[in-house]
Parts: sequence; structure tokens; C-alpha cells
Amino acid sequence: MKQIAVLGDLELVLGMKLAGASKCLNYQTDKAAEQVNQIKEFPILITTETIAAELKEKKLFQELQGVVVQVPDKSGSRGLALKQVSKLFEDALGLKIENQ
Amino acid sequence: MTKTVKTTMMELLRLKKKFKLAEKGHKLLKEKRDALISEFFKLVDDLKKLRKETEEKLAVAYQSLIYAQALMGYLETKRAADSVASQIKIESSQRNIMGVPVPKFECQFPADEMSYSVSTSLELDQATKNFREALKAIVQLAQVEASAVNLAEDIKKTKRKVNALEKIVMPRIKKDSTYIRMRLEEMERENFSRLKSIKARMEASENA
Repeated sequence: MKQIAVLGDLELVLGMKLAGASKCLNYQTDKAAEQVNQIKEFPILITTETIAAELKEKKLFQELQGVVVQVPDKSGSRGLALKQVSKLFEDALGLKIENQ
Repeated sequence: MTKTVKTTMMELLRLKKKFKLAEKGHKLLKEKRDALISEFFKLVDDLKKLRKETEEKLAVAYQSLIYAQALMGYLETKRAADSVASQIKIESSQRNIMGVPVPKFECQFPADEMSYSVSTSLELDQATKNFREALKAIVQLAQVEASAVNLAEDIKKTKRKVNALEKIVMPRIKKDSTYIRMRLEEMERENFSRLKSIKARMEASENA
């Protein structure tokens, strides 16, 4: 059964490997399409905020079928994920919420 | 709109029935929307909390990994990581919130044993433990996030349906049925005056 895939930078991949994730790929810009192809059927995909943004730029993000979780990389959160939440909120309800 | 409406009693009755149905649907959908929204609020609260937790856990995990690397060197750490067999089991199933399917993940970790052995440090063990914690949180987060996305989508859909019923379907039916009613009344008046004039003509011919 397919499980967790990780597409991340060196540190994330190393850490997740230690934790026992089943498929870990080091993200490489020039092989992005190929890598996305390899992992697009996993139910859970973990990636960093930076890589997710890059995938979106390359229009590869939509190909992922599972749930994509964006986590911060080692330099800390850039707040992109929280922004996404409030965007979701705005879309659904038509009103903005303040982020505490 | 230039659609022609049949001006018969049958059509009027049909429209009345349709209107009642639309009203009922409107009410139900509205209730569904409100319930979904309250559910969504709860989820978003959860989501924020979990997100924060995950980020904190992950930050700690990165820190410990960096320590381990500093102590053992990158290659050694990588070798240890490569030798870890993946033993996480993820069960994914579906759950229902107000008729909206949302995914549900359950992850099981093997017992707390490290599957690499030789020439590793305490720091690496610590890093592994921290990353496991983080991974657990991430799986939780994945579930909640996916649920929130699905719910948001459904709220949008339901909202659109409610608005369509309220702003378009119901007014149209109302307009049509008023038109038919007026038309029928008009026909009745016409008929009445026609009968009157015939009666007057008949009386005139009798008198002559």
C-alpha cells in the first residue's frame, strides 16, 4: 500500500527517512516533472513551502492527487500555510478573518 | 425573458406545486449551509492549532538533526537514514461531515526501536524521535486540512444553490404564476362582457 511521500530539501528528506517515511525524494528543479510523476498517487505528500510555491509556478501542483501538506523548511515558517487557510476562509464565506 | 407561458389553470397549479418544492429545497439547503459553516469554523480553529504545533515540533526536529549531523557528519547520518526501513502504516478511509466526504488518516508507528544500529549517536536517536513526533502531527494536519478544503468547496456549492433558488428560480415562478392569474382573470372578464352583449342583442331582437 502506498503511504507517505516526501518531496523536500536535504534536511527534510533526511529527517523523514529517519522517521520512516516510505518514499523520500530530494527536490531537484530540473527533474521536477519526473519527480511529481513518481509521487502523485500517494495519499499524503509532505513538501516544503518553498518547493510547493515552485511547483505551483510550474503548474505541476495540480497533478498531485493526494493531500499535500506544506511544512516550513529549516529556516522556519514563512507563514504561507496560514495565509492559505485564511484564503480558504475568504473563498468559502466571503469575509476575512484576522490572524492572531 | 421571452419564454411563453401557457395560460391555463393546469399550468398555474403546476407552478404552485413547483414553488412549494423550491421553497422546501431552499429551506433545507439554507440549513445545510449554516451547519456546514459552523462545522467549518471548528475545523479552521483545529487547523490553526495543529499547524502551530506541527511547526514547533518540526523546528525542534530540525534542530536535533543539525546537532546529529554536526556530530556524525552528513554522510554518516545519511547512511543511517538510508538504512531505516519504512514501517509506518497509514490507513486512509473516508468520513462524512454533513454529507461531505472527507478523508481520514490513521497512522501507526512501529514500537519505539531504532532500526539502525552501529556507530550512531544519541543525538541521532533524539532526531529520529523528534521527526517521528513531527510526522505524526503532519498526518493529523493532513487530515484536517483536507477536510477543511473539502468543506469549503461544499460551502461554496451550497451557497450558490441557495442563491440560485432565492434570486432566480423562486422569483421566476412567482412572476409566471401572477401572469397566468392575471391572464385568466382577464379572460373571465372578457367572457362576461361578451355574454352581456349577446344577451342585450337577443333581447333587442325579441322586442322587435
